[in-house]
Amino acid sequence: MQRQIQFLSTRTRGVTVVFAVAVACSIMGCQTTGISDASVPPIAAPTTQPAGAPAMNPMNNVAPTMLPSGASAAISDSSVSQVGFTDRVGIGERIAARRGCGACAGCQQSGACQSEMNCGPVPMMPMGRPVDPQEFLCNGGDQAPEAYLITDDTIVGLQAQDAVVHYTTDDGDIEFQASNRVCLYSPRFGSVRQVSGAVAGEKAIGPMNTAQPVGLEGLNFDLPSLITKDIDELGHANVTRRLDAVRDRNRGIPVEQVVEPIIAEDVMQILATLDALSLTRLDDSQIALLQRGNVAARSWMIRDAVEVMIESLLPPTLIRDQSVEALVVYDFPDAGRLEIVKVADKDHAALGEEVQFAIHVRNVGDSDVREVQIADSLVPRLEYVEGSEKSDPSATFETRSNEAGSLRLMWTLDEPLKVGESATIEFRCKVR
Amino acid sequence: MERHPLPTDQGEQPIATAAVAPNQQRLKLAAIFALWLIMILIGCVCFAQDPLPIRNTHPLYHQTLPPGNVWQSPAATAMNQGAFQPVAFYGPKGATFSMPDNGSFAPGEPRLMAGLMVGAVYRFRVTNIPGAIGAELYPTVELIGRLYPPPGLETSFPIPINLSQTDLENALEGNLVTRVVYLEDPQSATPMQKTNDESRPIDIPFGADAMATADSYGRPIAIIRLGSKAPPRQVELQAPFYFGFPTWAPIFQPETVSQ
Repeated sequence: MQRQIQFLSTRTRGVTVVFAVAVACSIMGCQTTGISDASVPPIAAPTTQPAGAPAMNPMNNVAPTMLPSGASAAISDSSVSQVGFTDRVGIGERIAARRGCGACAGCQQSGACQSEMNCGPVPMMPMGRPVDPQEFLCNGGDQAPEAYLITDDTIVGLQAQDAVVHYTTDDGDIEFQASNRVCLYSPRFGSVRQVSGAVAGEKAIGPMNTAQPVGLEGLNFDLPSLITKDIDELGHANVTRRLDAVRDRNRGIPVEQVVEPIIAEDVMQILATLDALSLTRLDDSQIALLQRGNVAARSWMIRDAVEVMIESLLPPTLIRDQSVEALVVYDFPDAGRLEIVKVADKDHAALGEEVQFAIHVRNVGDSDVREVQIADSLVPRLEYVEGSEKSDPSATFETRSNEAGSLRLMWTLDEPLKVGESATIEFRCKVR
Repeated sequence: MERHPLPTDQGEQPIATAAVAPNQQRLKLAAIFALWLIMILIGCVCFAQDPLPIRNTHPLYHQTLPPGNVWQSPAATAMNQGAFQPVAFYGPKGATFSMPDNGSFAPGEPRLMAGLMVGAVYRFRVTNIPGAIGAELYPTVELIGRLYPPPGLETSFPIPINLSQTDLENALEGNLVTRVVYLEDPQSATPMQKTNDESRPIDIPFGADAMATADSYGRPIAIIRLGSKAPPRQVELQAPFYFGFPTWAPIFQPETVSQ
């Protein structure tokens, strides 16, 4: 009985150990799941929208870095998650960063976020008014990868929907500045059609069996071929040479047309003098020579330099560790800096409707800027109305097709933009 | 057990020297078993975080699924089904549409607009089909999503229900035409001029998944099925045929006054 009890106790301990391990693993699994959930962009519960704030078009005429609180509430990720928005433009991250909470993982670990709204569970059905970014037609900003200039003054990294300005400062630096995003409410629909066969009560009845092409089950290569070949060769054949077999004596290359090398050198002959083994093998007779060079290399220092003593005067001592005795700070004026704002004359547009866009660029820096170029790459659903652009001051306008099937509009100001000066560009686009 | 048989012939008096070895062996076995379980559990936890397998079918819809059953799936997320989503019916020139009202139909309108509930299945009537005098069709429309327009623009941007002449002819010939309307992704939209009343669908073969195809182009928002030519004569079958006559909201278009 005692042995059985011992056995039971051993089994009980084993079960206890297994149970403890299972509990630990389940906890570990929860923690791991929690970490993986935290890697998802933070989901924020909708907040109360202030009265008077831009209500439903949160991305309209608002710079990405200047979203009001109402707008951030309107485009909360909880509303976006309902429709499967993958946050291509990083709105959720910006909102989370604005709230001082980079991610829910950071909130939960550090406890920095006092409000549970930022890190609460994901509501499956938000009570606020949701927004689907796919219903909006947005243009502006600079999506990653950011735009930059290459040697032939070509802008690289300007995706469809990006709108940037680049300029050259007094220091010669080329700077880029992205505009804000302008969004129009303009959903467009498509449809997928499928025609099936028999119908009963609108339940499509599919075929019971489909006739799949039946191929060969196998190939037997051992079977004899149907093609027979006579392998008996002729023992003797009298062949008479015909006229066309007569050899042409004029055939061939004349000797004088053969180009011969002027100088023929044997390259390998030079290499034959090299002995690779002799370079890598240290002979005993060379050790003394090597040690001598080693000592010379180590002992040759500055303090061993030649010193001259004249009438018992010591030579001046060279001090290499010098400290800073004075610091002069020169205050240069800041370089020129541009701000760019893009606006539209309406916040919603039906298909086929024309929308007027305006891009306003102003030098808010402390020095002039030159070679100002404004580039706007249109999304595929915006079609530039030919001849509708105008700029003040004058600018050179050119278009180029972009990868989305629309156009890239570019204006290059003819004159430098001085401090405080601004340029306004207007153009019209048709929503398609 | 076979290596260390219990000394049962000596009653319940255990032999201390013989009992030590089996207990140690059992302890070792228990430890090995516990380690084995740890490895299995860790493996389960690790493998449980693998990404979901990629399927070529839509998780909510299959072509053999009857109308209205999309929302019966537990994978379907809850949505605000209480709101009316405006839809607009477009067809070939001359065709008229009408919604059922207590078992009867109002006179057809060529540009019918109505507010439908998300998740419900509505059966409407198509009459005056060009090239088919007297023929009628009773297609169904099922909204599986809605729009989120700014306030005041709900009726300005209805979901277009486009039926082309080919669709109507296919349905009259006894085929089932399934159309999945999707909200186009503006990033990947085709740079073509489009209007709401035009019908330019993407045709897919019978074996393909219409919902999955629409899902790859945008957000599926409505399913239209054409095939029924006449309602049942029995009164008992009318309610199932019309899917219980779900409530819909009429949307009256502004009348144009000519002076």
